[in-house]
Amino acid sequence: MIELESGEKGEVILELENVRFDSFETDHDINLTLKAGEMAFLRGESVYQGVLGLSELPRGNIRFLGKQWEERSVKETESLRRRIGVVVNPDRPRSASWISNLDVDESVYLGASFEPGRSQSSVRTRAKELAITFGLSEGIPTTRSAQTAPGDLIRSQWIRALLPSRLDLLILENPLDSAPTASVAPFIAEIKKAMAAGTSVLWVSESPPSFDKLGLSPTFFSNEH
Amino acid sequence: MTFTGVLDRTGRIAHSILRRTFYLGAISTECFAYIVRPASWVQPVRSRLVKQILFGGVEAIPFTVYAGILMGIVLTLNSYEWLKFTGRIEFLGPALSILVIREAAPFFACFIIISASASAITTELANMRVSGEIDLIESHGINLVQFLIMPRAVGLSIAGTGLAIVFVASALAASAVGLLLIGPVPLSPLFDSIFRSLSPADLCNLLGRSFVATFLIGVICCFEGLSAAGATTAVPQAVTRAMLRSVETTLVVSVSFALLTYL
Repeated sequence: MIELESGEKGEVILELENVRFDSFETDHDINLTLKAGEMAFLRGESVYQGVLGLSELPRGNIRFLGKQWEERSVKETESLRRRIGVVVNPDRPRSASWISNLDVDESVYLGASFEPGRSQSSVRTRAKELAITFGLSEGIPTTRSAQTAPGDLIRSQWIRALLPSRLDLLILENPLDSAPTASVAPFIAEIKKAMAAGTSVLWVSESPPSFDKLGLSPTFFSNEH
Repeated sequence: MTFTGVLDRTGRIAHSILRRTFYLGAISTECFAYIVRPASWVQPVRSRLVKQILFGGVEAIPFTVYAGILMGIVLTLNSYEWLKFTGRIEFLGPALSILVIREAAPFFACFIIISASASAITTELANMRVSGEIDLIESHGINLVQFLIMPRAVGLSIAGTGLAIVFVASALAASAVGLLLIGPVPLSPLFDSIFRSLSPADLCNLLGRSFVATFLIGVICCFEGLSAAGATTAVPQAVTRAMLRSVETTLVVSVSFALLTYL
């Protein structure tokens, strides 16, 4: 069992300053400060490319651990991105959730395989634990994403997002889409465990889930459309 | 066109060539930095390298053997007829050495790599860029040179060098069969003269041209594929650019090696 490392309590993980995302219909700027262990909800389609500095924002600045991505070196950027887990909105065009020339399991292990000093066996062991937790009794699918059931794909995305050995931020875009009902509770339990260890969570979806029923309480709730 | 117009156009072309050469040099240097660092060879990179050697090299062996046999027959018959006509048949061995080992093998290895693998790599990466898969890879903190470019370029260069050797073996075997059928040329002295006429510069030329040119072809195709942006219509444009630049690079590398090894 890997001991998850995350941000220290009170540490500011993510700051959004007058930000607009191109996938959002809102005409209001988003201002948000997300500290370690906190959760925020944004109503929209997808934010991960903007938050990770992979695409230009129509407006505003994003700081991760106090700095904008442009202010960091390539090595530093790569190292920090390894500390962010992402569930990509599976319904958004031109925002792939899977790599088409890799099997689902290869794609799940991919990011963690590049963590310096982390062995392939530890990555697989942790992934197997999570697969069992989320009800994938036969393990992570070894098929291409196009030939895999949506329910298995979303659970494999959860595993991929939770695999980094140090997790500072979780970006969850529409994470319950196509998820089997029975696996939602263990997933939420893993999120709570990660938050307790200091991981911040950014939940993004077109319509907010019933956070009360899920036992989650976002500190920031942007419900403007 | 006015003089300033000609000057402007010449400047633009020179700038474009310099910029491309700079990018090619920068990416190749970064590839080498990853190649020599053992920690770069994580499991997904090793797996990609093996696949590239398999798809670019092993699967192209039957066609390379076929091309080698055909070229071996053509070059042997032409050389034999001309040398017999000029009364210098004793130079058949050195002539075949120059034509097959020094010139045809590295050129055909590059030609086969460009035909079979260059378009495939460019299309694959350009589609990944357009569909958003490259963003997904970058979101994991993965360096694109380490994961996508380096194993493909190294794989192609190993495949290209191997195919050049396969081509030489097939062409020389076909030469032997051809000569047995057409004339009373004793094979043992012929092959003896082929191998005696080979200098270290020839071997350096064969291996260097195959290795360096196919490595650069790999880098060019990855660069063009990853540079595709916007809609899917960018994919065929990237493939066309990659193919043309690969041919151009093959010719430039051939000339450079010829100048370096024989002057």
